[in-house]
Order: sequence, then C-alpha cells, then structure tokens
Amino acid sequence: MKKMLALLLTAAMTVGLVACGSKPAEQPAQSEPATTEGTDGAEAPADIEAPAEPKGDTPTIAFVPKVEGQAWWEHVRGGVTEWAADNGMEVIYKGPAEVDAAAQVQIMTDLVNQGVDILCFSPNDPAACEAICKTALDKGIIVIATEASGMENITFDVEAFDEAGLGAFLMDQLAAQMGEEGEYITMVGSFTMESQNNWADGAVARQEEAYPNMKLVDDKRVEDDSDAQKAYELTKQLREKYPNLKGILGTGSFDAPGAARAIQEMGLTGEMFAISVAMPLEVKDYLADGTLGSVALWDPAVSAKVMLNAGMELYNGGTIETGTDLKEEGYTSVRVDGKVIIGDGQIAITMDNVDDFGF
Amino acid sequence: MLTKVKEFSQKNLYTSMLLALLVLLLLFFSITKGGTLWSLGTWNGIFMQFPEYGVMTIGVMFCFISGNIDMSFVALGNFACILGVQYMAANVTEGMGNGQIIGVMLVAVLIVMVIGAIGGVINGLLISLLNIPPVMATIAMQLVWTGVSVAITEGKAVSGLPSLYTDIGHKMVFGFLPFPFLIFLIIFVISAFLLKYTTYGEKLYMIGTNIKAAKFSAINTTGMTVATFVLCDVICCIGSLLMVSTMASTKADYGTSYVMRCILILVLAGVLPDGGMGKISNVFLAIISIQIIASGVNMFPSMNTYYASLIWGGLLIIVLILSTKLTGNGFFVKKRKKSS
Repeated sequence: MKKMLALLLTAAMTVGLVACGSKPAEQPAQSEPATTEGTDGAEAPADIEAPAEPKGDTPTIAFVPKVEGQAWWEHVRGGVTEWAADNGMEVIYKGPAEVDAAAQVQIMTDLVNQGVDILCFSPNDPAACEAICKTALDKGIIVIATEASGMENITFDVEAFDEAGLGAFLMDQLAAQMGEEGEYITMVGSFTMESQNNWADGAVARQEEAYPNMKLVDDKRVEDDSDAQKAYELTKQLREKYPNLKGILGTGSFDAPGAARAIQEMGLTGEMFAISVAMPLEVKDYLADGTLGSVALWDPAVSAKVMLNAGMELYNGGTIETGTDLKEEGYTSVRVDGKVIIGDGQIAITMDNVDDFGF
Repeated sequence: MLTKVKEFSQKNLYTSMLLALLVLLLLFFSITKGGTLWSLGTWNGIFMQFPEYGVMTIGVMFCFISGNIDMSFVALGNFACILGVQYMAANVTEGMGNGQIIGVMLVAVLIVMVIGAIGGVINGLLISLLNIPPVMATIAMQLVWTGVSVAITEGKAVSGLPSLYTDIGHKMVFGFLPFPFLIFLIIFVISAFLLKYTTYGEKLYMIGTNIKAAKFSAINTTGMTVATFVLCDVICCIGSLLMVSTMASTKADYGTSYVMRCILILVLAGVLPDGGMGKISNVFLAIISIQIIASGVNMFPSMNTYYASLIWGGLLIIVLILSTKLTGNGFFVKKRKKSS
C-alpha cells in the first residue's frame, strides 16, 4: 500500500512540475487573436503546405537560438517576444540548454516534425544543421538562418552587415574621434581570422577614400591573439614605436578594451583613440570616462526581427531581392547576394545605449 | 488483481516506476497536446532522435554494471568519427557506384569501431592495471581525445559525407521503421543477450557487486574491465556514427551534452555506477521517457528548454528517494552495508 501511495505521489509531483511549466505557455496561445496583414488567399503561395493544425493563415513560427539563458540570447528573446506582440502572432522560441550542436539539431528536429511553417535559427555549427534543414525545405518549411552565409539548405541567411561596410563604419567612428587626421594602425585578433582581416581591409579602404589626412603608419597588422591583456601590452609598445600614433583601429572584441586600458594608464585619454567591435558592458567604464568614444556592434534582436519579417514576407507570397524593405532600422533596403540578405545593421555603442542590451 | 500489481511493483521497483512515469507522461501530453503528440511526425521524430544517445547509453550501461563510469565516450566517438569521415570524404569519388560507396562506408565504420576499441583498452588498462579511479581516468581521456580532435581539425566541422551515409539518419525501413531505431534495436537485443545468457554477463554483475570477491573466485578482473570498456566504447562509437549521419558532419565537440544525459538515463533506470545492478529493459523505458519529455516540452511554444532539464533533475531525485525509502536497500543503504 505504501508503495502505491508513493507511486501516486510521484505521479502527482510529475504532473505538477509539468503543469507549472505549461501554464504560461497555454494562455497566450488561446487568447491571441490571429490576424496578419497578408490574409488574402490569392497571395498565399501554392507550394507551402498547410500547418499541422488548421489555424487559418497564421503560420507557426519557430526561432531556435544557439543556446538559452545567455545574456545575448535573452536579449534576442526579448526582440522576438516584442515582434510577436507587435504582429499579434506566436513565436516558439526554443534553444538548447547547453551550447551543443547535437542538442540544437534535436530541437530543430522536434520542431520540423511537429510542423512549423517558418523556421528561424542561428546555428552553433552550420554544417551540422544541413541535414535537418534539407528535411525542413523538403516539407515546404521556410528556413531562415543567421550567421550562416555558407549554408546550402536554407531559404535565406540574414547578415547584419557586410564585411567592408563594417570596416568603413569602424573607420568613420574612429576618424570622427581623431578629428579626421593623424596616424593609426590596424589590429586583429588573429591573422587567420578571415572576417576580422576583411573588416580591417574595409576600414583602410574607407580611410584612403574619405580621410586623406589620416595615415596608416604600418601596412602590417598587429595581432593580439584575441586577448585583451596582449592588446594592452601591444598598445603601449606601439605608442613607444610610433610616438605620434593617434588611433588603434581594432576589429575583434578584445582589441578596444585592451587598448583602452593602455590609453588610460598612459594618461592619453582624449589624445589617443581606439575602436573595435565590443560587448557593451565590457567597455562601459571606458565609455563613461571618455577613454573610448564608441565601439561597434550590431543588435542581434533587430537581426532576429528581420529574420521573422523575411519569413513572413515569403510566407505571404512575397519575394526578397535587393532593395526589399524588411521593416527594421538598417534593413529598409537590403542587399541580396544569392541566399544571403545583407543589411546595414551595424550600430555605434555609446553611453546612450550601452545599457540597452544586458550584455 | 491489485495484489498482483503490488507484488510486481515490489519485485520490479524501477520497472513499475518507469512504467507509471511513461503512462503519466503520455496521459499528460495527450490531454494538453493530443493533436501534436499523436501524429506520425512526432513519433517518427522521437524514434529517430533517441537512438544516437540511446545506443551510447547502452554502451555506458556495461561500464556502470561493472562498477565503473565512462566520461570519455563522446569525445572518443567524435575523434573516431573524424577519422572515419575524413576517410569517407577522401575515398568516395564522383561516379562511384552505390556498391563501391557502401564498401568505403563499411571500411570507415570499421575504422571507427577499431578506434573505439583502442580507446576502450586504454580506459580499461588505466583503471584496472594502474588503479586510477574511473572518473579521473576517463575525464583525462576525454580531454586527450578532444584535444587530438581539435588539433587535427583545427576545431572545424568535418563534412563531405556521401549522401548514402547521411540518408541513414532519416531513412525509413519498410516505410515506417526509422533506420537509426533499427540499429538501436539490434544493439539492444545483442546487449540483452550478453547480459542474460552468457558467462560474461554473469561475471559482469559479479565484478560490479564486489570486485574483490570476484577476484578471489578466479575471475580475471583486469581482463573483464578491459573487455567491458572495449564493449562500452565500441557501442558508444556506433552511437556517434548515428549522430554523424543526422548531422551530416562531425566535430570535436558535437554531442557533449550527451554525457550527462546518458548518465541521467542510467541512474533513472536503476543502473547505478555503484555496480552490480540494473536491467536493460528499464534502460529502454528510461530512454523513451527522457525523449518524450524533451519532445513534449518542445511542443509548448513559450516553454523554456530548461524545463526539460528541470523535469529530468526532479525525476532523478524522486526516483532516488523512492528507491531508498521503499525498498530499504536503495542506493545509500546498500552502500553502507557494503562498507561495513
């Protein structure tokens, strides 16, 4: 008898556990009225299968982040939730609890099998997702990726910026701080990091085109091994080697924080400047005391909204080509290169928006 | 009737708990998400998804029964598969017939299994000859294999598999049976046979219960430990091969979350790393339950994936408490008896 009781107890606890989790999920599902812009039947594409459960013309949409519970991806969740509320729709936001490609593919498999119409995701490893994405495409699901420009089995990939564009953006920011004149040098995390080197190329090209009074003191880049400590040491050495060095054009997210520490220590705040892509909260102190004027980043929550907009556009029978408006700042006239949608999504992080992200 | 149920549940504590759990899960998800749960797509998915870690779980089960633990199997499997995939990518050329491609695939599978066996021998020797505690030895080997894998791949994914191989991951046999599940079934049957009807199985439970007594009964404990790790790691490598086919590539860190998942399943099934106990049928029930929880949680739009972890952890605690309280010779009590 004791055992039966205990079994019942287990049962009750399990149900309790599961029920606790499910309640908040259920309510919005029922109370949300389903009305979207493109409900004309004529616009609906013929080749897309009906959702598993009949829901009129509201697609089932899923967004799979790299991982759940990290500040970056919680910020994205906020963006996705906002988008869902704005559009009166429901988005399944579900990622692995650990950064693991296998766990992520399992979740995507569940979603594809349970029947979604639009699948947005940010792969931990693009190669690992090809197989499940192919299954998804075969089922008529619209597959939108981000940071996966090399993938084959996707409908579109959304990139916040193109490499040359980000480079030019970094240079514009740095030039404004340097008063458009003086010596500068470029810094990368590693010579083998293709993207960072392309950003640096873009920055130098921009300077040659727009800022004739600025001078690259050495064609050779410096490499900080993606280590802020090394960036700090290098900045000090470089200033000794080139006494007139006024700017460090960094790329990777360790460059500006390391350089800023050196600038601060040498007492050169306001005379020497640095920039790179960086995480807002990591550089907040330097932004606050003026050592750094700004750093560059893109807003992943905006990218996520653009992915959802792109998915909806296609679901409603539209097409995406160069010039299409994806209804977010920086993406009002996107560039399309093959399967890659490229926006102008780079933003400057200053004291005004440093707290907006949570990372 | 009720007395019979009572008798059965007393004799088969874990089986009855797991069956109750399974019924409850199905009931719960039927009520809340009946339409989605009882669709062919969902069940195809479930039976395609669990074999890759299900196979690994069966492998690690042998270790657990022998009183050991293996933390290295995912890393070892990835290393073996990296070599296997590189071999396939290098030897499958355009215009090859299906027969030839299958030939290359078989060689690659063999390479992977041989490496798995070598990894098993190393684990077994470290533990039985050098007396390194199993957790330490296999964590060290996990680091070694991950390191080697990163070194030879520079941390990148390795792909370029023939489509014949990647099809395995979502192929249906007879139109309804997922191929990965078929592999799982074969390994399950062989393992069940090994445990139940061979002297190896008998000795395995013996060394797990009391390795000293086993030694004095003229059992070659070193040989048994090495053999068990070989068996474990070869089976785990088969799991990795399945993972490769669903992901169409391999990488040093794929499936790292499976280590803890496999251990969780085993403990839930009453196969404790203490050794000497556990039934493979319970392992099957636990695998299915875990996958149903995972897939079930994914049916709820705004339910965080952490709920799956939360439920898994909660269940584990409940099962451990119940097994201790109800039988009076559960996990902790048994341990005390042993040491006295």
